[in-house]
Amino acid sequence: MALDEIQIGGLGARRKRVEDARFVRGKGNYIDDFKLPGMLHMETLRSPIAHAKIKSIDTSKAWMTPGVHLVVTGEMAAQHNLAWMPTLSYDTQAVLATDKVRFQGQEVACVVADDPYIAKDAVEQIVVEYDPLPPIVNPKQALSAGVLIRDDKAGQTNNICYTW
Amino acid sequence: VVNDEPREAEVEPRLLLLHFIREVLGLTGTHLGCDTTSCGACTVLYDGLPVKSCTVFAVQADGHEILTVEGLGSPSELSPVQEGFHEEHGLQCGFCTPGMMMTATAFLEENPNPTEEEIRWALSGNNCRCTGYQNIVKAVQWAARKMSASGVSARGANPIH
Repeated sequence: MALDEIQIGGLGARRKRVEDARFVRGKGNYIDDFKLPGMLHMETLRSPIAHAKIKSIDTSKAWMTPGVHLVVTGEMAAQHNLAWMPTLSYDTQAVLATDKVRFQGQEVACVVADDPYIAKDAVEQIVVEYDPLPPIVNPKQALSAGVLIRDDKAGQTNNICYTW
Repeated sequence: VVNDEPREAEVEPRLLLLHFIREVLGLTGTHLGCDTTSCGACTVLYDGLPVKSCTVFAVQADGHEILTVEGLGSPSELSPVQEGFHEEHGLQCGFCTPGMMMTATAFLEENPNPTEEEIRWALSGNNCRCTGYQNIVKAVQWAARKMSASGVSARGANPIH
């Protein structure tokens, strides 16, 4: 019997998905589609600079924005031992930057507010003073000595964080 | 007018059409993907033309006809485009699907017998991170065949309008 004559019902068979019915009707129900009582919204302030010391963060204006419930910085998170979290490769990763930012787009602060528009407004009210450090823009440069990105790690002398 | 139903609300001038549809009307089939007009997940039809609703203010839709994924087909029957996506496995996670289908619907209304290249060009403003587009193109081709065989419009047998 030729292979294409065999009526395969399991592996290799073309099967229609049962979940499509709701997806093609716009009833997928993703996380963002949920609306819960008392739900708040968070917006993140990210670093525009690849490598810089954080000199100061002024969140006072963000706190004064009506509808804002919370403004969090790395320093605040550190007080609860939440600024750095473990990763799967036995490393640590910043939740919110504390001493310095280590890549462009790193999370520096966040705002929790009644709606996303207010949260965004408040994020724009946060003033961060950066002291720029030399950035690393390619792997070759990362391997050469000079700039150390993870100077937060004890005993780290180069930019190699994990070997496998 | 959203999906042929007049809707009225007082909104902030800066409220995006996307948020109006999702938050004010509760029609969550239109998705917020990138928030930067790149991905197309929020595509709706504005007077029949596909627009990315994250780049349209709600107030700009005042007095205009908006069609969202919820307005495709009818409660009992899928539109040819919806059916095509199901038949040809044009979706996996389904997040881009409403935007894809809205763009495809407007495109097929304008060009009911497209070539593969025309389909790919028409969908170039909509990103899919699951399928690799192959089956999405097949889905649109399926819809075009169904339309010409059945005479049903891209929006479905009982178009709401």
